[in-house]
Amino acid sequence: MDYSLFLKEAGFEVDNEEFMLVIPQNGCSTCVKKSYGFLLKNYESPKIKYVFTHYSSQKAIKVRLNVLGKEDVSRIGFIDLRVALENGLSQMYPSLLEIGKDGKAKVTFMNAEDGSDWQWLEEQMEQDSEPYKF
Amino acid sequence: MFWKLNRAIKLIVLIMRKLVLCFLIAKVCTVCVGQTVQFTNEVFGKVIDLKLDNETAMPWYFGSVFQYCDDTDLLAYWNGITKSIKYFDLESGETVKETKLSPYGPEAIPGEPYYFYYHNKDSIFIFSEFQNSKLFLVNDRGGKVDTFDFEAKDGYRFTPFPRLTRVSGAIVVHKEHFFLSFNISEQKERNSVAPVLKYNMVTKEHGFLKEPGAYRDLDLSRIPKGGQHEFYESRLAFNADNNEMVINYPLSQKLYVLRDGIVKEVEAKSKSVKGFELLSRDKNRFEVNDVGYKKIVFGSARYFGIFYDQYNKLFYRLVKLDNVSKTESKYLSNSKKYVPDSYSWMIFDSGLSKKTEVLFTSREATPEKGVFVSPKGLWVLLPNSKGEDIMSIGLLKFNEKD
Repeated sequence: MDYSLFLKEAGFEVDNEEFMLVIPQNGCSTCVKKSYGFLLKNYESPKIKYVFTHYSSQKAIKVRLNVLGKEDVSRIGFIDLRVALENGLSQMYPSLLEIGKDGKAKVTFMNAEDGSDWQWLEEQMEQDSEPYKF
Repeated sequence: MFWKLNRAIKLIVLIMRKLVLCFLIAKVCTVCVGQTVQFTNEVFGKVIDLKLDNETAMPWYFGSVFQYCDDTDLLAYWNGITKSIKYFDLESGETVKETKLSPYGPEAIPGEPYYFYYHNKDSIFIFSEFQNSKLFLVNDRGGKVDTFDFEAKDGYRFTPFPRLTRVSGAIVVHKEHFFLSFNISEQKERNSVAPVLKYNMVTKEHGFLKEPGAYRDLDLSRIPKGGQHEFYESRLAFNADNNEMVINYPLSQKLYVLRDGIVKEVEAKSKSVKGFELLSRDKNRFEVNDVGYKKIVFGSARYFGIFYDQYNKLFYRLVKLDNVSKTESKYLSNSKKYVPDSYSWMIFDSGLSKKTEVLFTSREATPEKGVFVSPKGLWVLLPNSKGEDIMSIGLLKFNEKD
């Protein structure tokens, strides 16, 4: 997908992040729980940013993060569900965008039954930064 | 000098005239096209704006629990973010009290609490996800009073899984017993008993009611996976005057009345529900797990629940009306146009004779996210239109001349 257009429409920017995790707040509850677990552990990582979609209330998400100890919510963004769906993202599962320098991103739905997708992402967080190559 | 003053006054008068004209035009437009205004006047007897503090938010997609508290005349609301019950004054709309649950220590309510039932300030029942076989009893200070364990010896392999129904109608407390309303099982063999658990708080004895069984004659494969909240949630209402418990199943036109161990079926269909499209639809057009099929049949009619208004001696039954053809044409034409959900409230007397029925849409009210009964009648949550710090509720006004 062409992520630069997607971000433009969403009014959101990435800096040097390699990944963007798009979390559908009202999607699969187990997946959302996993997403929050990952987000809390890797919130400060410069490799990833978080975007919420399919939500009822931005306030609810910000307050929840605050309650969980994340007072600075500048690393999260919000994207209208319509924009997310038009760009091929899921309203049910978290979508992981691997951001390329050419303005394109590879999209993966985080719904592997064996949890290998989350494990892989955790490993990426632990590795030294490397530019994504297609 | 006078000439300048005269000119300034004329200019001010001109501006004022234009402002008044703009205001009048805006007012006329609001009255003509503003559906909320029109609906508020005709169907809601009263609208209250609840003021949300900086840690309270509107319910999310699956709704939240609202309950009127008899002993304090306050409205209790489950704020999932802080895992606490917020109490609103129904006159001012201000938050006046909070019951906070502790996730740690001796008073801990583990798991993900999502349902409460306020019996009185010393007895608030809490149900927590991932602690499926326990119901916790706390007081209004959040202190844990008791735990009721209803773990089944067979691990619920042969009975409905103990996941409590959301939003409303999940718990009835009567004398030393409580009744819990679970999801009907997607597996037919587990519906050999009713999805209602009876628990004696003194002896701790518990078990499922044998009747009324749910969906025994239905082809459950026609209900898409993931439709638990829409088509499998049972709900209870209780009339303490005559000890009658009424049970609602989403895909049944009937209500089931339980008294002294005997179940009586009562016809309680809406005039707007001819049937349940997903049970009769030609499945060959779509694969059962196909995204399109799911989207379309999710617009099938379903009875959301039953509520008893002990103050006015009335039952209310809410039904979500069939939206299949609209959803189908929207899906097939790949349209992005918003299709509102349609609902009907039916009102019955305490003997379950229907008095009237009121139609409305999700543009006006969102009862699946919040609904409760107070001495004034039936209240529903209204769509969020006043920002994230205001949560509006409306008191439904019924026209009994139907």
